[in-house]
Amino acid sequence: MHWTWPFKSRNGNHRNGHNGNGHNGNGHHAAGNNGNGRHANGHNGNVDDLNGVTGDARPDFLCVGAQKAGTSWLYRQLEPHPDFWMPPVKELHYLDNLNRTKRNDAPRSNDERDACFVESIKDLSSRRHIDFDRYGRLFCHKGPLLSGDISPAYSTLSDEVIERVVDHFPDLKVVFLARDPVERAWSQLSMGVRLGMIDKFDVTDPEEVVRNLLIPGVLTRSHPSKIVARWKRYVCPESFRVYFFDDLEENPADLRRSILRFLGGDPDKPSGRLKPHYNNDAGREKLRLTAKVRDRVAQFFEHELKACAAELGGRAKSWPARYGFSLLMYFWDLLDDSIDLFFWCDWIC
Amino acid sequence: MKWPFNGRAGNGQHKNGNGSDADGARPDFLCVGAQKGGTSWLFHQLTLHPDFWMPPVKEVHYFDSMSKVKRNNPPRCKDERDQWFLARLVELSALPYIDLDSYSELFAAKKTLLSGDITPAYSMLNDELIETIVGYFPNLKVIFLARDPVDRAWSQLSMGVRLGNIPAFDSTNPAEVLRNLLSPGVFFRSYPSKIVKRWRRYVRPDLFRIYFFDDLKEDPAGMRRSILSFLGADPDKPSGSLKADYNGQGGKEKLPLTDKVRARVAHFFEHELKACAVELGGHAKSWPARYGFSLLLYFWDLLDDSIDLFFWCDWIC
Repeated sequence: MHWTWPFKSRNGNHRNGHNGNGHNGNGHHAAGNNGNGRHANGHNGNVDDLNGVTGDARPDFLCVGAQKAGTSWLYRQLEPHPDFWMPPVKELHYLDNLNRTKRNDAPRSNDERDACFVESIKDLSSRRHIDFDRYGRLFCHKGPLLSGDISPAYSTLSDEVIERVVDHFPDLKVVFLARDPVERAWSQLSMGVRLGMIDKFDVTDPEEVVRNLLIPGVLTRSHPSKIVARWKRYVCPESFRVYFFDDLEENPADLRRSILRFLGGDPDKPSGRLKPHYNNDAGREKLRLTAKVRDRVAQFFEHELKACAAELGGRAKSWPARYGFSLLMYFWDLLDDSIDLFFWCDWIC
Repeated sequence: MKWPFNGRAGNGQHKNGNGSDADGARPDFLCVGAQKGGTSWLFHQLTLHPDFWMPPVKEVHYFDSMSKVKRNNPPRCKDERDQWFLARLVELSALPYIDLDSYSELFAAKKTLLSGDITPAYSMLNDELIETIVGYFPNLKVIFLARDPVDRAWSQLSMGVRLGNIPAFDSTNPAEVLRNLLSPGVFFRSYPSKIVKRWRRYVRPDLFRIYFFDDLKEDPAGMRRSILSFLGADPDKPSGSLKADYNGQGGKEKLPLTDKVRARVAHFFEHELKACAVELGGHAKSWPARYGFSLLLYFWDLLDDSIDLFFWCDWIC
């Protein structure tokens, strides 16, 4: 008897096989590496050799979103924390687009580790295929410290890739920062307009606003219940945590403590001089949200708000009531659906 | 009576969208893949069938990339209906957001005929988009043409190399082949069990059908009949002079597949082959045995997992 979470152990079997074989006879494959010979990436041998050099070369955790839910806050808290070595870029974007992302800011460049990391990820993103081994080895610079990849775009990853990632890194912890979908979407629209990624629109016209909610990049990030359901299918419960933006607003010190504890860091050590409530985004301009538009956006997300209460629990249980939605009706609907299902099955038989 | 999770989806999301307008300007069906599963065959059969008006492009690519795709062939442009469709499509793809009303309007030219969107890339759509689509078009039929993942991937790699989308590689080297299976465009299309599960979460069972590439090879006329019947067309009418077994791909060059590589690719897909047998049923039940995999062990594993789960729950309580 092995104590594994269902659907997880199975996949590991054949994946491991492929890792081993995948590293035989790939001489030309690693030839593109240079400048980091003392690190794992200079090698083209097999994983066993590398373990001797790099120790534990893999991410300890992923933070998979949500965009506009405090992921930058988390990165800033972890970066100066003495138990962590965080990558020089906050969002690696490897699993969603092989790191082929245009970055607004230059990556951190404090020391040789940073330079090596940037070099390695450049090499990695020049390859056409997903290479989990090399992705893992990006983290060889962390040494005995903790490290992870905070890429909110991972909230859009499909089952196919989630299953692979979790197979390949069976001890990986996964964190999701959840935020009320109405507020989150509004924050994303505000950022989009501010940065020029979304064309200016009449923010007082409910239908214009709804159209903008249907921008694929907004729509596919706006359903926390689905994101959480996807990750829960593959990550075992003790390795997966949902935290709430509500807590970040009300009690950032406590939220910091619980995340650090979950990740295995010491919550009592400070993050340098950074206070837990430090908010870099404070004061950034937001689009004005009228009561009429707020109602329309809430209506757009009514089903999702209720689904969050059921799937996420915790603070999400109070989200529907903010907009005057009753959960009672939601459960009644679910029940109604089950009765339908029951009759439908009956009718089939 | 409504199928669970379906009626709900439509509620708040689209005030105007019920997709069932009387004028019928909407697709009657989607075919959501698989790439290399026979979707071009299906398009040819339907285009020439008198009960259909099919769009002038086979793959509309709206929901996966807002129709912003480079097309290899110029679209058909035979009559006003084609022109109208193509002009609307250009307008539609210039919008930054998904506009389901305008997408429906694309199909206005079909009038009383049947029409649909055959875009294999829709196999990669996530739950959020599927729910949005199905919530808007509650009567939409959805077809998936399933093919053994080993054969399918090999066919995609062959096509990719032929068209220059994939750089030529040593197809006798198992490690090289595996790397190519992990290129995102191949990888994300290679898991029929997951694709089918995603669509089944939102589409009512009576509106969703899986057909098998195996049948296309063995009995194309029979397969044509059942798809036409499902879509509400007359299976007895011929598709012009096109025979049911017409294969536009016939004779196109394929990469040579050695036994060693075949076994390695099968090993890569072992779990998926078994998952297909369970999720898809039908012909997929015989897929694992082709590569010497036993389903018995798969069920044993599932059972073993359930026992784990049981103990795990026990241990939590």
